[in-house]
Amino acid sequence: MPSVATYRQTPILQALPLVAAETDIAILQELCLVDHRRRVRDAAVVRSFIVLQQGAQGGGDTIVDAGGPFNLTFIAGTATITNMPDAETEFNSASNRRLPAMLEGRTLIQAYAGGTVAGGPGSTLSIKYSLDGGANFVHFSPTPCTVAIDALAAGTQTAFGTEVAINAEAQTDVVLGIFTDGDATPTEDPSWVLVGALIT
Amino acid sequence: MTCHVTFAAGSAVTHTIANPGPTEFAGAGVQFNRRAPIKLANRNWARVYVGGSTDANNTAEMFVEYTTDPTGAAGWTPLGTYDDALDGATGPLVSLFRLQGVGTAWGPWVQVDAAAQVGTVLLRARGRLGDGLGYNAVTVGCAFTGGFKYEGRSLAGGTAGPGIIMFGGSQIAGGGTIGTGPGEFGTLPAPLVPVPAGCTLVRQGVTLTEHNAGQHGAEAGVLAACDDANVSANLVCRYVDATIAADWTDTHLATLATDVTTAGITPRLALYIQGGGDADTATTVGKYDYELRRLRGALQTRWPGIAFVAMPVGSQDLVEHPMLVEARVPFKRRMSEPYRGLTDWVSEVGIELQADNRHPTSAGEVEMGRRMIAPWIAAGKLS
Repeated sequence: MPSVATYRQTPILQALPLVAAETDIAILQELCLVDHRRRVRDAAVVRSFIVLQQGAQGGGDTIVDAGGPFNLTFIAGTATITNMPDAETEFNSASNRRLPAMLEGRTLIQAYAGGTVAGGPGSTLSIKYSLDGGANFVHFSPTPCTVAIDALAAGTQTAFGTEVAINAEAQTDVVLGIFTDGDATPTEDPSWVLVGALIT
Repeated sequence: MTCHVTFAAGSAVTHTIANPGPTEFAGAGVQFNRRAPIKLANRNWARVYVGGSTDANNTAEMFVEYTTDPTGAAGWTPLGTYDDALDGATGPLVSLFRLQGVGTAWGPWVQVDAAAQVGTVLLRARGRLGDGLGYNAVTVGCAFTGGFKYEGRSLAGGTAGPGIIMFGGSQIAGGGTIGTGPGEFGTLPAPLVPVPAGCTLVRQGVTLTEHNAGQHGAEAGVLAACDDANVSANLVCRYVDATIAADWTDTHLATLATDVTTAGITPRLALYIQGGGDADTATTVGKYDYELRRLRGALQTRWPGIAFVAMPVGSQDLVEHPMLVEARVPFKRRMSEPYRGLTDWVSEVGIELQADNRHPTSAGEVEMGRRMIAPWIAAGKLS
């Protein structure tokens, strides 16, 4: 599949204004196919590119995957941490809640958590990203993507963190992980039924 | 447009996969309550992921299918086919062998067929090639995305620069020069012996101004191709005999990093030749996809933004490495997926070997190097 960047660099696309009608897109596809001798399925990329460019109002060449907001679901069932430690630790000290995510063109992320048993005072849950397939995780910057989990009323509340910026470095193909940080007396056994992130 | 379909995200679910299967997730194939509807218009790529708490057997894999039948009774079809002349497997796929203690496995991206992008479809996850025993999963889902900034097997995202590292087993740096008979290796042609003007070579930590004509590796071909293209390269290469991807991730990259520091270069490209040991057994093949991800991650950790080109092992010795063909499948899938415009693979087919069908000749080594550097030169990253 040719890259969107490749298409952007073609004189045909640079010369054309944004197109709205499906017929225009079809013509453009033909032009690209003739010019580049690509296979038919590549036409879908052109269509996607045009639609996205309409949405992005012709922005920079990194806007290739922008669409509507979407949710990532890390937990949608029951998950409990026994004696949640007073140090930032990947969820339940395991890596089986990680999710791959395509953040190209995404700018905002908000964590949320619904539970049945709260963590200790001041305890938090954060979503961090990895650029190297999960070997190293870092916080979103300048503001971490965090939600407080010390006030999860039993079965009645979902806590929402502050929507924070996705820094440019993270706006790519990443792996996301959830990390918790308890209080100084790690005796709580917080339990969740829902943990996710809203990405815009 | 990115979206995810979640099949499981709670407490551990046991999935028992028959051999050969397929067996639908979850349970033992008689429960169909995890199917999900979705609209895939403009969602051109898909990958499936599984976070587990126990492993399946070493051949087990999960894949995702769709149907336009709203009842789910018929019409189930794979979402796409891996674009690989040798493999051509349907997908998306992910190995279920490395879950415990490792966590989440995510398979390579596969292009979604156009027929699946029309209207509402149902999705289901299935397992195959199991052993009739259950494994446990806590996270199962499928990610979809629209167009990528870069295509698969593209180096367009790499940073131009002369710094190159090359590493692997015996087919680099003269490690596998000697076959079963004297003279079989041949001799490097005299014009290729000097390190070309404008290029530098550090081999096993030692700066060289010329190759050993009777004991060199694929690095000679890399520099020959650079010379032909009239571009400069600063090449640092190292081999450790009989190593596999995991050895480099865990141990030998550190040594190579020392070479790089001493040489004073900034690596922009990594060249790796698959080790024969990656294909010794069904077990090593089963985890090879995971090991390639680890190696790619380790490279990014040490040298952020580095491009990564690899070649399957050129050995034809299917007696010594009977799983070689199978190992090429995960290799090519993983190296073909879109990854920030930073990955590519080159063919090992047709490399001239010595009489032992294992060690390349001098000409074979040169050809290997030429092939490996060609995509980087073609991408305009050397000047």
